[in-house]
Amino acid sequence: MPRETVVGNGRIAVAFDSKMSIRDFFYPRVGLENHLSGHELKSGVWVEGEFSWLGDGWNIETKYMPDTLVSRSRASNLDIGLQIETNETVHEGRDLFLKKMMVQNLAKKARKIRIFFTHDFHIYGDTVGDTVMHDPALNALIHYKRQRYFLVNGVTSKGTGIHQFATGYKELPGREGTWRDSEDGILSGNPIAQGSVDSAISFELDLLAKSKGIIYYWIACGRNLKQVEDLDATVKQIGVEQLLLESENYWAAWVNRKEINLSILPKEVIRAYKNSLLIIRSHADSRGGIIASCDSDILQFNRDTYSYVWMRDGAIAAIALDLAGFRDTSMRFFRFCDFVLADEGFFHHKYSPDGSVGSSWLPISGSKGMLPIEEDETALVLYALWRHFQKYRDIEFLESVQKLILKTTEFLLNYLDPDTGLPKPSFDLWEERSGVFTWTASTVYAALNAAAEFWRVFYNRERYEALNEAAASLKEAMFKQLYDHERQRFIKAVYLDGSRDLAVDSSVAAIFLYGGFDASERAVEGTMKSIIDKLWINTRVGGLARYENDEYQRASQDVTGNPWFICTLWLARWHIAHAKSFDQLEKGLELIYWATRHALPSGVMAEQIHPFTGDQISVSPLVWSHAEFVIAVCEYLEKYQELSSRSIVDEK
Amino acid sequence: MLLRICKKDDVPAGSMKQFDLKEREFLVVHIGDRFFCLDARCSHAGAPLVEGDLDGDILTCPWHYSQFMVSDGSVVRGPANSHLNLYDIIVREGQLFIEL
Repeated sequence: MPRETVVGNGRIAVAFDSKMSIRDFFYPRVGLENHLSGHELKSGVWVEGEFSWLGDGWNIETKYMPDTLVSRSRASNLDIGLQIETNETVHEGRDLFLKKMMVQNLAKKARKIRIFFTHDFHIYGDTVGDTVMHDPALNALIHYKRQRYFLVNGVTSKGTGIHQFATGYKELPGREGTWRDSEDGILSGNPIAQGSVDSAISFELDLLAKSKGIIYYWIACGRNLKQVEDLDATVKQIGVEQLLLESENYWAAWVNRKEINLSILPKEVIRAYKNSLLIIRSHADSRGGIIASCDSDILQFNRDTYSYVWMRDGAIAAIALDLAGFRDTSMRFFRFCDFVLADEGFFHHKYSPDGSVGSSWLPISGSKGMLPIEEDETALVLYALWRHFQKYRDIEFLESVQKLILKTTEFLLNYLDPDTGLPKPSFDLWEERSGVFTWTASTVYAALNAAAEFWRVFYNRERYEALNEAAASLKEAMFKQLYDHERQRFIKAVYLDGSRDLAVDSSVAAIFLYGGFDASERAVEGTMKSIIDKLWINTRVGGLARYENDEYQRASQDVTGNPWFICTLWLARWHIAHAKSFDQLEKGLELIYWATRHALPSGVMAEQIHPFTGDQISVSPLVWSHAEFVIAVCEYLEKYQELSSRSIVDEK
Repeated sequence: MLLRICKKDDVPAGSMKQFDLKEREFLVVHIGDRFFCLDARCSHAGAPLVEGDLDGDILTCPWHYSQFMVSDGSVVRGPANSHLNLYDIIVREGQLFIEL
């Protein structure tokens, strides 16, 4: 189930599904320690003897409040005559999850309504040794284990606190979970439980006919009891209403930096652009790592998630952030890269947000000196760093990540195959095959050019020339070995046994994306035409598939693969780069629109969508999708400006 | 000071659009055959009004649902308790200008 919204502050990230349940709760790092581990914190209502969990039977719409990382969900259930509106966020400066729930009694009579919140925490990701207890002095529930404390509390707009509570056991024989206790509208009041535990609380509202009541609810996160007690006191002193306002204003100020004039864009695109930046930000840990996705539903497939820092995804997100003027987040990412870089100068497959090497499925083969890495990840970080410096010229920052520049450059040079002039084999960006890929070679070319530019800045002419020469030789080798003259297009890869992969793959767009070849060169035009011919999905949904006969999460055998946001946006970027007129530029904007149209109402973009229904498939949100969207919009604006200036000159 | 905001056609009838000029944000609203220019942020908590709902002459804030009268910027419904600034708008040769 896709995540409808994600809210966070760089230490906490909380994601919601379409039932308004919290499905991921990360603390104290974004992407590390999901304290729900595939479970949920859900809400339900009891009215006139009937109980209903929010979800089935409810009409629910979830969005963000414009320009913020504050979600807004509206749920209505006419059968039980209730309408609920919630705002949820994580306070930007305090480790507090906040919720305001406005409950409207649609009935023509006064009614007593109870609202239930359940807490199926799996602290540190498991069920062993948790405690949940009621603190009568605070009238709050506290879940804890070792150095993780979650204090749950709330109050109604009339000043009444938690009405009833229960703590108990779950996932044990005969113990389904305390959440079941909610369904009779009464909670047991059991004050403490240890082991595999969960909890529920309720609030009671006496609502007149057609009237509204408000519940304010919060979860304070800390490393010890004192921290969460202090936070609880802070909320009681300041109030959730004010804390929500602070978050709304913080994020509105964050996203409206005015680095770029967006006013020529359609409203929908501006909205999606800002949402994308905010969603990327919600996936950025305060220590620098940017995780690929917080959506843990993918656990069901292979017992692992996308909640890792892939340097490829992170670097592309950093490029997007820098283009849009959000250098603070990208600088933290580069510092993270500098910190985790292997001594040998490459990046491993992926990392946890604490900097440790993440889980991997890349085998060590040793064949032809091949390392178990995806070399483009190393190349893209160096390239992204150059793009950052090109825009901000922050030489002192560069000095602070010098190791990153020196070591990755050395590595990329040494990882060139002297026999072919191409990079030595590594794994591809799709993490499926090993070989020499056009995508990877293109990113290495970009990185060597970036390295050359760094040495020009450092005033080391000899090194600059050597790196320039290495980049030029690589480009020549790419054209010689990865370009198919007969088919007039670049091919996907050459494998270890010398075989050539002729399947059309959208990632070959890297030849122009990373500056190796101009978008208007014949070789690029031929390549992009073959991509459009073979990979455009001719259904009502449209969009570009990843490659021919893509089996990953394949939804239908009737088309060659599912449309992917990133691939469709690469095509948008080609139309933009290729445009010589406003008419041609429109083709790029149409595809940017396509991405906007196929996002969730909240603006969330998945990895891929169903080719016939447009439903989100695989993880959702995917930071990379949002990053490519931001890059495409920035490139569109730049090209629009360029064409406008050109037409003014022409008129003169 | 007269500031050019946009072309008339940039804001079709029944719609509104935000423009950023001189480090300030303006909302141009086109109702019937008239154009109005107001502050682009809600006077209550700074919400982007361009994301709000326009129903006839009434503009509803997208964050906390304050309502404003577009023709004079006055508050119709709280929580906002101060009006939006309204700027004189001049239409000249298909272009919109505001007087600051």
